[in-house]
Amino acid sequence: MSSSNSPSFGGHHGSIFRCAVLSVVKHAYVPRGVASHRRFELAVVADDRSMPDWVHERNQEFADENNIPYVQDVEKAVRDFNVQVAIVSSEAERHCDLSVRAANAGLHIVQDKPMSTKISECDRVVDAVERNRVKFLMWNRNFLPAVIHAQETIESGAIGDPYAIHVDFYFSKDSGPPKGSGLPGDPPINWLERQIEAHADGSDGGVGREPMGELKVEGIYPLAYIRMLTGAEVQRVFARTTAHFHQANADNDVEDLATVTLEMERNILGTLCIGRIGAASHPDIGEIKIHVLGSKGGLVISEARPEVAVYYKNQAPKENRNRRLAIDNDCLLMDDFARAIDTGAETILNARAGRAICATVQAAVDSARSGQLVDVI
Amino acid sequence: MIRLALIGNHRSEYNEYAVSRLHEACFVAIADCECERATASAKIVGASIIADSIEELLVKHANEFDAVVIRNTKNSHLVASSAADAGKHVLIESSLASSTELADEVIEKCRAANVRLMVGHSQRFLPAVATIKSVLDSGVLGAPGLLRIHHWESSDSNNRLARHRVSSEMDLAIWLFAEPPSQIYALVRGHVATAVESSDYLQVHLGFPDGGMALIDYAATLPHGAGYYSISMIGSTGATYGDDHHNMQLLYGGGEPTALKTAQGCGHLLAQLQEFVDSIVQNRDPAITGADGRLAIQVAQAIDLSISSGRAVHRNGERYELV
Repeated sequence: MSSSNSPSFGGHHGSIFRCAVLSVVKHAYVPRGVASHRRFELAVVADDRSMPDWVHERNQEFADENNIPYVQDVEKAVRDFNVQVAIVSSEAERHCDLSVRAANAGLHIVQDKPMSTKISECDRVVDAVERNRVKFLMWNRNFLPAVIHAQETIESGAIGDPYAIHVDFYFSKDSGPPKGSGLPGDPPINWLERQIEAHADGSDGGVGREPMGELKVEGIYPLAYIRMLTGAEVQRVFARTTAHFHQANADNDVEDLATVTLEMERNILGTLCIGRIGAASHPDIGEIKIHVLGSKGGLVISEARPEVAVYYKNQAPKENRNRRLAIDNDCLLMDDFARAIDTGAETILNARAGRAICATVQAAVDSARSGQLVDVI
Repeated sequence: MIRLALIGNHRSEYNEYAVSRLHEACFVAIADCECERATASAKIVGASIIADSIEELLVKHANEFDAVVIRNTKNSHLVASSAADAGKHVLIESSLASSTELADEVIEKCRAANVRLMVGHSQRFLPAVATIKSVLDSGVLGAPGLLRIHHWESSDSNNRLARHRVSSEMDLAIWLFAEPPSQIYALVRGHVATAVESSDYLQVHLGFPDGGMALIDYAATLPHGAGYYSISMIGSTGATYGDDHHNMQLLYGGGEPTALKTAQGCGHLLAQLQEFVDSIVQNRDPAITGADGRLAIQVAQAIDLSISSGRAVHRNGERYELV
């Protein structure tokens, strides 16, 4: 077992990595996902003392569930608990600050999405990660069975060289009261309060003071698919956004529905449609499809498959009728992360890739506001 | 009984099914420059008159038919104009014309002759599309937010990317949103300056005035065989999905199974034809008017402008302009 906090490239393969969970205020899929792998062990939860009570409450709850201490001092926890990995799952606006601090302390980092709400923050992370020579994994879904299947099919040459890729990514979740449901004179919905409330059903991906539209909250997932399946950077975008479904989005001037035209390297074209479309609009978690056109054919992939259908009397209306199967995404991501630490290789979605995705998202937001094409910087 | 003359290549479009189910109309004439094809079509639909052009039909049989159904002919707008001049009602199944100016000519001819003009965007009558429209109109989906269409065909299909295909997809978007797009950005595969007609891949991004949007990708690059079609409409309170992926059957013949596409049949062509006939009988505007056809052409021209300029196009009053 690695006993120091310095980067452990070429470390002992099979060694256990002790992890500090730096804030876990959203639904805890990231730290749980990390802990599902036998080489990663949760050692402590930590956060800054200055955080509000609701943050401490959630951190403490997660710590208690996992029988590990909660320390209200990030740097102290890192010093005292002999950790090699930081898992960052705070509000989005604190992601990068915590990641930079972790990198400066010599920790490898697994960070929840989105990378940040600001490109400048992403740049800080890239700099800190590379300067400290630590590994960084942006949490993603690229190892879902359907996405792997798509990659294998493309790599086999079955459709030739990809020239166009389209991801339709709709989450059929509600996010508070529907748009237009308020009464005249109602105050705007407070974004943070709405997100705190959403924690109960796990739809608090946008938790934080800064309102975020779906491009920022979820855009990383489909953009990571596109990146993995084409290997191409997005160079220019044209986007349309709107708050179509939810009053909270309308009140806070952030979209819950977006369409993006993508112009990529090697003349590859693409599109992204993304939205939080409401629970009534799909029998399951949502319609998520990948379409790829190549020089020799086309590929249509449902991200949800394989799945099994389950129906029964008095079934709760919001229960998914189809249950996904054979999902090994968490373990495969952590396999990838462990391999990167062991060998010095890059992770499947490193800091630079996360930054590129953040820049694509920001360009799309800017394009929608201006009505113009925007270069990704 | 409305007597119909089929003008152009109609082979395989109408069959015994259509003939037996068409109300208050019958097929009496075929005008097709390919004699063998014309004879075959006439036999299928029971037409007794065969000619090689609309001109011959009008010279020799002017009083023996009431309406023309024009498809896949060169200069179809001229055919339509000739028919209107002769007092014949017109269903034009290809794009109304190649430009808004020519479309205006046809519309004016039909108006002056007091004949019905219907533009045949038959996609509207496909069962899946008609269902989506019906559900949308019922209000249960709320305000339309996002229309997504993937339309892929083989590279040897008869419908290689051309203006009529683009205008049909645009007609669908305009129909479902009930207004023309306010913003258009389009791309073709390969080179920015390539015109729509010579490309095999087109990607169109539309914005509508109330925040609605549409993304349509059309490709004619699949290998020989079946195509793929997927349409979804996301509304503020519900959504509909009409998707070939969902509607596949499986064939096990050794190795990996083959997906067999389920068909929607040819009822949509009959439905379109019946609507044309009914509009004549009932003396009303058809479901798809000349103005509808013109608007789709205008949007297709705006797509050309976006492609050639590499920029987005915005609607300003009744026109589309670069921003």
